[in-house]
Amino acid sequence: MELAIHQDDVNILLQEKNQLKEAELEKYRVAGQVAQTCLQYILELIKDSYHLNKTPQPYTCQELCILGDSYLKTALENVFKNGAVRERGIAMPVTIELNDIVTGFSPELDDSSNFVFQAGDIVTISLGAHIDGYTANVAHTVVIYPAGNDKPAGPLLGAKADAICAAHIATETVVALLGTVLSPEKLPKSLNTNKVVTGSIIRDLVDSIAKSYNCVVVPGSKIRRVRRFLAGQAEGIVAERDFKGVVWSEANQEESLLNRSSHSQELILSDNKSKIVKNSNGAIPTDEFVVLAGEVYNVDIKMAPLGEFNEVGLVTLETIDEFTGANHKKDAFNTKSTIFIRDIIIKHALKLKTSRQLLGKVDKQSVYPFKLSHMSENFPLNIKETDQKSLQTQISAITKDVKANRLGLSELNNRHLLKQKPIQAARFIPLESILMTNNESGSMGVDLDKPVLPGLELSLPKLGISSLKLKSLLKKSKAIPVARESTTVILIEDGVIAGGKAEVLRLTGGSKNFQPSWVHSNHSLGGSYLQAIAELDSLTKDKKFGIKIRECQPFKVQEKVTMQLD
Amino acid sequence: MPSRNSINRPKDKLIRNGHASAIGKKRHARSRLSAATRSSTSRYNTETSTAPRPSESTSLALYTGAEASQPTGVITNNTLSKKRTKKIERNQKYIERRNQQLNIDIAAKKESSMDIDQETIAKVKEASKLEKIKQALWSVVADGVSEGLSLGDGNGTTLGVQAF
Repeated sequence: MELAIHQDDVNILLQEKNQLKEAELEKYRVAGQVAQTCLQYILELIKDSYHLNKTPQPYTCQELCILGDSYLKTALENVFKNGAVRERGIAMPVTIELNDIVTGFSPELDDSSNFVFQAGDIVTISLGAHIDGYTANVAHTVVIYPAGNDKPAGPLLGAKADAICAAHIATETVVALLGTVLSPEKLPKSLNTNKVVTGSIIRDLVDSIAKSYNCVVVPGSKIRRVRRFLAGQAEGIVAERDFKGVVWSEANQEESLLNRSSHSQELILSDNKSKIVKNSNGAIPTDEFVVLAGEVYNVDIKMAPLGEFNEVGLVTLETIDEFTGANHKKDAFNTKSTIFIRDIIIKHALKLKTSRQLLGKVDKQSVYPFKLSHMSENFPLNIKETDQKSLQTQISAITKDVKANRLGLSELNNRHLLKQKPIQAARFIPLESILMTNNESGSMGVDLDKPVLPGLELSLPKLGISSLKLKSLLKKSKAIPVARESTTVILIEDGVIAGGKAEVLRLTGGSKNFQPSWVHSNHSLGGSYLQAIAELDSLTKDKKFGIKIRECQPFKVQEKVTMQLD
Repeated sequence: MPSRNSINRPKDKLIRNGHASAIGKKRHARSRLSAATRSSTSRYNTETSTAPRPSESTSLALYTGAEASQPTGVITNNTLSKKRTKKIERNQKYIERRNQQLNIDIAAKKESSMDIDQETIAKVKEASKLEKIKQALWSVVADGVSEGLSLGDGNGTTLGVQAF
């Protein structure tokens, strides 16, 4: 289905509003600052409670999520107060993913499970803020060390360290590579790129970094252009026109495995020719695009280490729900999705009063994903209140609202007015079990729970294995940890800021504000792109002749919040 | 369609339909009455009982008992004489011996001649694209197992600083 919008409006929404001028840049910058501050706040909370033992009990995931969301909301309410913007809000609720969980894990307050971290875990915090649709998303992976006095006893070693190294280096390298768009003469010669940065170069670079750290780029990783209200939040629900970005999927792993075989060159070459599709509206992602100055990009890289596995295999994503494995796998991790997004195309006359009320609130909110706790009257928490008792009453009030809204939510969900964002976990499937499987139904099955971009529906196109078949193969899979780094950068052209030169504005992330955790990997950088990566790295460090990258600084935090919720 | 009593009833059509259904009924009754033959059933139909063809040997059928497994509804009075039984047994013995000899001859010919190999290669079906891809991936599985763990150059990579 397609909404009928006049071409003039389309031009305004997609082109005019995305031309970066002072006002737009300011909105992006503030959104970035808010996201940075919130990330810093959550990292502080984790540090205080897990590393320094300042709280009697460590914070659970539920508490960290609601505190983060409240912080984000409160900070957003304090900017652009004068009504200069129509809307501002949470672009991505705070999600906290542990080890093998990749996306979407943000438990609701009424979940009674005790989600806490152990020493040696890697934890990814991801969140996003938007101001008037100009979005800044961020994700950062940190290590939980054994609690100590003031510093960790040693770095994290092993496979997880490989993943953290690969994700960090890949992100920094891609940001530098995107930066060279502003001054193409500085592009490293060894890249052979004809003075343009294309999708295929970005892909090759990231793949080579992953390979030298014995990692795999997890499906769902992407480096994509961000436009107003289009930051990938409604993926799999709304097809985006003129999608520009590199997307990793299982198909890429299949291809790289085929590349490793000696007699497969003809197979790959002949297939790539037939792959070129005439796509209407450019919704199908291809690598054949050129990065231009004046665009905003979100770099979202997830790496999974293969060090623990002594066999060849694929890394894929499993959707975690409350049903699968509940009966036969007693140790399986089951939980409900908590993040929802409105599918604005669908209309339905609702029966329940509660669901009508909830839909009203949802529609008033935005097109961005939300949690049920955001719909409460008592949200956000007043986190400046350091009194433990009052916080406790605030939280119990929100929990009560969440429980009341659940009924309405189920009707909205059943009528497809809302789509739940899946909780996905990374799984390693041995290649042997994929090749052994009996694929009778061929490539016809599509797993509708799994949101994918158009054109990527078939998981393994060469083997003809559908996403549904791959789902059934998950029973032979093993969990695999994932490190994730996500950052949003703006490539500002010459003369956009008054008297300003071309520069890269890094809205979120950045090693100055968020240093990588202390890790040591046995692998080191190698491969054919080693020289190019080294050159790009030196370009970012060179103040005079290099690329200028500015990082958004978090707001100065007034007071430390120390509190215990239960 | 207009009814039987209407002014413009299609008389001709009604008569034709009635006639067609009448002869259809007759045909159906006839076909039920007679036993199924090989030609009246499907080509691959081995299950149903069909009447033997006129060219088929009744005595051989009696000897092997093939008739008994095919209840066609037709009762036969034919009996198998002792002499004919002995003859059939003797013939089967000869046939068996001849087949044995033929198999030996074929095997000997295969061993002695050289062009047989090429013939068998030609007979192997051209592998489909999926099979080729599977074969390529199987070779990756085999290689991967023997490859083992690869460690870096010993220096490795360290990120971050000693701080929480």
